[in-house]
Amino acid sequence: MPAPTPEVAPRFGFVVHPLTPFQRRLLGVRSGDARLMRGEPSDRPPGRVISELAVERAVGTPVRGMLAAIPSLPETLLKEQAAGVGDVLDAVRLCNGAGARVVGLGAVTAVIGGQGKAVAEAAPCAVTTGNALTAWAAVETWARFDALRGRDAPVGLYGWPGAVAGGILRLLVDRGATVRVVSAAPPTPLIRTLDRLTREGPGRAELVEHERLVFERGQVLIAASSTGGRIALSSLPSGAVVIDVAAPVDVDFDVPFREDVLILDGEMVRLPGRLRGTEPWQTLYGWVTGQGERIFACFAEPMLIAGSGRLDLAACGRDLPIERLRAMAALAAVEGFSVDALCARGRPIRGARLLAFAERRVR
Amino acid sequence: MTTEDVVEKVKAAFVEALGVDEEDVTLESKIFDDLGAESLDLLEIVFLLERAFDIKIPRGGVKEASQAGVDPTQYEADGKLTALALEKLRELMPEVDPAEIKPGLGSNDIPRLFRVQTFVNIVTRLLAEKGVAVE
Repeated sequence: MPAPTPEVAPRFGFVVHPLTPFQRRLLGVRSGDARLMRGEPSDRPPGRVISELAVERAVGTPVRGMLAAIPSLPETLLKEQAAGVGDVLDAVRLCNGAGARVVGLGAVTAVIGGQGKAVAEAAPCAVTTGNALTAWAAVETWARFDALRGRDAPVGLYGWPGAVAGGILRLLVDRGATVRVVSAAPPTPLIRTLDRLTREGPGRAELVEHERLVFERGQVLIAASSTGGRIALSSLPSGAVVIDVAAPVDVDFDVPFREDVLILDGEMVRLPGRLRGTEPWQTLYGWVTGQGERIFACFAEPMLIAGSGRLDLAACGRDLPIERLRAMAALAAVEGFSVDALCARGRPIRGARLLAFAERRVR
Repeated sequence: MTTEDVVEKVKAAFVEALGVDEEDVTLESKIFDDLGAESLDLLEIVFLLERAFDIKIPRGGVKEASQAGVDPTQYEADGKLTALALEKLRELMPEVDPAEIKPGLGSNDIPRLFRVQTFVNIVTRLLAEKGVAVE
């Protein structure tokens, strides 16, 4: 059961970083760092607050927090992990010093140091990668689409052993679904995991050699690889439905659009109320936080944790136990976080188009 | 430091990063096909080994080492490693059955060849470079 909501919710933080040298210079402008502005290494501490945030809640006072950034680029973080962990830790401490009790890790900061574990071990507050709420958002998206079809069909899953794919697998089996995990050469740990999940039930987990076998039977594929870019849009068979959870996305748009294929966003969450910031951070960081009414689940997770006071649900690393996933799902319902519409690239999809795919009229 | 110490720490890194059972991790285990690792796990394994041994493991080090002294145009053609590159790779990775390092392999496929032993070898070499003998 969720803990009683505190009168004043703990604050949250979320750490991001620039994706390109240009964004890095803009971060220098935003944080008044002349060296960074000129494209030189900064001589200031890496963490800096970009925007104060506040999100209205379904009940209770708004949750307040902050978006913090470090100036490191992705390739630097991946190449120099130890230094990257230090930079992220500096930003986490900055957030904590400003009152954050839980800090979410965005983009590559959630990848390095054992998917956030090294930061969490040394941090003065709870740290979370957002994988649990992302897994929940993907499953909710699938459930909405499945409801349109009016039948419980098996669902394909691509991306094991990634943390999000693992969480999706556990949640789906826990809901009684039959999950067909795509693996051409399943390693022993995967076979063992599927056997265990099927024994525990109530759903089933089985193997399928290729995603083509998922589509042939008119089943939905949830794509949740950790690295993205695994499926070419042009290669999908007509009538295919993919819920893309990966960040970067798994479906590579090697062709601009296909009318006969449906690609659904699988990681977006609608907040219970308006999200306001003191600075227009979306211009620079929309790609890691989401835009408008819906934001990425990884960004929403620290808000949910802070609002509910359930700091114990913060998690880093690959493993997401089912108890934590269930608790996160229950919290999302209580706090009014939802997957309120099926979207593609951030925009809701017309009902007629959805129905055409749900009823398998697109072939 | 003994070879056993290195092997033990390397295996421990795999157990921690992948959440696999200790008995699953042998020196011959292929890290993707047998242990079920993904590319992000490689990052974690590298991070854990760097911390455990106080070394710096360069990203793409095996590929770079196999490229050393080879004209880039002679290394890969149409996305596939040349015979010369394959030969260099066989020398660099004696732990891998030479038959597996065969024509048709691309440089992106190199990590799929990695065994646990590959990391033992990398760590041993890097320790030697910083003057730590492994016996």
